[in-house]
Amino acid sequence: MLDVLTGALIYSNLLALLAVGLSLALLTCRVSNFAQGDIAMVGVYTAYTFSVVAGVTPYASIPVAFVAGGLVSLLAYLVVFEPLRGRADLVTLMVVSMALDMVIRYSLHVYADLMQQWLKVYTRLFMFNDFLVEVAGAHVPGVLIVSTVSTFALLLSLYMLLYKTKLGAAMRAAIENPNLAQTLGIDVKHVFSVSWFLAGALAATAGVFLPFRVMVNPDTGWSMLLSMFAAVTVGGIGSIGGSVAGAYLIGFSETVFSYQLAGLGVSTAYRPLLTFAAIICTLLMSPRGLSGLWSGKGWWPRRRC
Amino acid sequence: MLEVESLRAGYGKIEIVSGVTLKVDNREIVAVVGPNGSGKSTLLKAVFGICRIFSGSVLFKGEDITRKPPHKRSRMGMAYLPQTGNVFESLTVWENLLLAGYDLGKDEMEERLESIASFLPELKELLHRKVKTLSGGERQIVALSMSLLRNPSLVMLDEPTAALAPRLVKQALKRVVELRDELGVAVVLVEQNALSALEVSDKALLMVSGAARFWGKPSELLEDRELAKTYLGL
Amino acid sequence: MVATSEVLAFFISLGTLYSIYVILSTSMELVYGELGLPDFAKAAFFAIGAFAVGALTTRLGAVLSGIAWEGEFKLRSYYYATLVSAKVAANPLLGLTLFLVPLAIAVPLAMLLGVIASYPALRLREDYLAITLIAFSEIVRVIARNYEPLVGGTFGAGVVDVFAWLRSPLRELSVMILSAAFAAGAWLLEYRLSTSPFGRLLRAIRDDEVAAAAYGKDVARARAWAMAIGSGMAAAAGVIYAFYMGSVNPDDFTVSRTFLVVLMVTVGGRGNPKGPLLGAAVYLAFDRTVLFAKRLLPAPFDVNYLSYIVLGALLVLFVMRRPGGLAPERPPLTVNREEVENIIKHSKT
Repeated sequence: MLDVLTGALIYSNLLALLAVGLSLALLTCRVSNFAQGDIAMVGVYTAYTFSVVAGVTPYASIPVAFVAGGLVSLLAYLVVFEPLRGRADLVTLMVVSMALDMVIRYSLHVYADLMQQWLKVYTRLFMFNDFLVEVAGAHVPGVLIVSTVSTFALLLSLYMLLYKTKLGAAMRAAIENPNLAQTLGIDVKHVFSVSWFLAGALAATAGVFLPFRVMVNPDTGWSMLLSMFAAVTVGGIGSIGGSVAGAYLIGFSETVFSYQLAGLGVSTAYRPLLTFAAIICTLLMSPRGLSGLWSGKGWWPRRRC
Repeated sequence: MLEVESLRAGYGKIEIVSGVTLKVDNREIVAVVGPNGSGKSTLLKAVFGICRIFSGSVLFKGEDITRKPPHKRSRMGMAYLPQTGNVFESLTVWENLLLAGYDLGKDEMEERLESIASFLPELKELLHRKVKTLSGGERQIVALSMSLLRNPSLVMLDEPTAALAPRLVKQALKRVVELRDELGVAVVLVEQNALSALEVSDKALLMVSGAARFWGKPSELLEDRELAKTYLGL
Repeated sequence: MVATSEVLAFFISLGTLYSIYVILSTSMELVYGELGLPDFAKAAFFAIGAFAVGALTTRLGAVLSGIAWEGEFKLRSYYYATLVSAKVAANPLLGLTLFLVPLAIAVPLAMLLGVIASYPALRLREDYLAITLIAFSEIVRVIARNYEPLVGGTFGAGVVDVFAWLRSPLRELSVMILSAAFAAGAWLLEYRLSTSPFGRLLRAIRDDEVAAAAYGKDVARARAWAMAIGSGMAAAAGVIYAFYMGSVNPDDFTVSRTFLVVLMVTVGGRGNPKGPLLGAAVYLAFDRTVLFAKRLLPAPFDVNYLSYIVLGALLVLFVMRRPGGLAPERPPLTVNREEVENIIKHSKT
């Protein structure tokens, strides 16, 4: 049982960072970013490459992954999403992000093949070596500690940025009303660039923790998309805090559900069914999600925005 | 201060403003009046740079700003107060002001706030409230403060009395006059309340279906029975 | 020198695949291009047709030809497929039955599910509708992948060769003619719908739902009809696809498949009946070229990857530079020029 909870926490930490990035993309450019999971994988492969080349543990490669993910995300924003902002409808933006996912994901596949040849390491279905820490007599995997501390630190920093700095206020303002922000002399493009960089950086960092726990492939990020979207949906679309809450809710539910399924002898491949059900139920029955609870607006927003 | 020459502007492929010319001098209030849909708001937007200009020119303080992006025009001293969406609802009043004074230093900010607070005394009490909890009149005050924080030379107001209760309309227009007299700002005022606007302004522009039908002294416009009756309902 | 039979096989295969893609892209054009509903569950409706074939042909064939079934479905379906195909070689009527039964089950089922899927559109914002439909599509795939009795899970299911009574290449040619016939039928149907009042209604709903409703149009009903027809078409395509491939595998029906169809419609041009034809052609041309390139260029990585990268980039480029697609939407012509001239002539007197 302890192992299940450990897994749940690690997974939820991951989802939280990914969901926050997804929220930022949604809030700034109204795009449901299907490439978000792939940015996590960019982080994985960057960290892997760096740690092999520099001969250090992947934990030390986190800063490199952070920057790499941030840059890829920033590039996507500047080249694709900013030009389309206000010009393309929601579905088109989504389709474009799917196309971007194809480009990034299959580039990662190509890179994985090349890396395997050049660096002579396994680049598919690999795992990172973790260290064990003794806590209260039990042996706890290092990734539990590092991922939890990092996630907490990153989310706290993001909160401080958004609510205690001028830049953060500018970001929230630009998100609410980009035209007005422009009117006041705020360079919206600059501010959104920071958001997108952060969204990618957080995702990439989250990605680095993944191989400490499960075997990964270039497609692993894509397979986490549904869970990410569930986290954002259940938490409340348009609420960053909601996404974090949703992430932990979905992360724990999925892990526990999976554990129960295994106990009943049912294939754990049915695990996504819970996630799908969560998304569909939330959207059809209480679209405001969890954030509807604390914003006091209730469950139902108007459909047409 | 502001010279608009044969301006044609609109959205996408649709032309709304068709060849309007006007001039605003220092310390002047120019009223833009006319029926609904005549392009008054679009004119202001075009001057500020947030809608498409097809042809014509806009000169501000002698410089041609026709192609300049809005945030640069703002930094030159032009302020634009739209009818709605003129404050950030999810932020507090203080945060709104902070953003309005985005490129100001701390001391400058305090200085400006002091002078604005003396002009708009109600502001002090609203500082830490979230904007979405404010009434229409209170939001107006916040929006105006935000524009004034940037020490503009020209303030363009789009129907400032529209969201106000009737007894506050007079107050709002009195403030517009004070803007000119106490703060030395030039004002372009788009108003549905034509009579009130014309009473306080120095020059008037009557727009009908995108074109300028009258440009000159407000008193002359009011005296022209034809125009006043047909287009302003006076 | 390439043998004539190889060349013939290539063209027959090309023709069959093109027809299948035309049906898919036409069905997407009806629902996404005309109505504006992002049918991201298209792969699932496609799958329903294929799964019906995979699940039924071997079992039904065995029952009808008196063969007793032994062993697990997932392990034995290919074996029994071969056995039943031998029976079909002697009995074309059996082949016909095995073709029509899955079709008669899959198409109405898909239509019904399509109607059900149209209802969330009333409540959800477009992008979340799309995510819901993707979720639904993946549910179908996950179930098929794990519930082995359906189509053998990851093993896949064997499909009976319903044209076994013909010799090659007539056999493959018949599949192609059949799919071409379906494609022509689907396309003509879409074309007629598109130029009819129903088509105008769909576009009206796409452009401004509130206005359409204000004019008294039953928006929900129009959506349900469009989805029903579109999903039924996709299922029919799935049926043909299964027979063409000779086997059915759940992993063939992922969201990537839906994405490809969306690509076809976007590149071809939304809102224009020629769009699906062009889009399917572009994709197929690209796909076959990559297949060739694979043989000619030895690359240190799988060339298939490159094709996805290029396709993704292509879509982004089209959306940014040429959003109307290769065949952009034309304004609707309800009456042709001569009639207009006649009317004017007669009204002057």
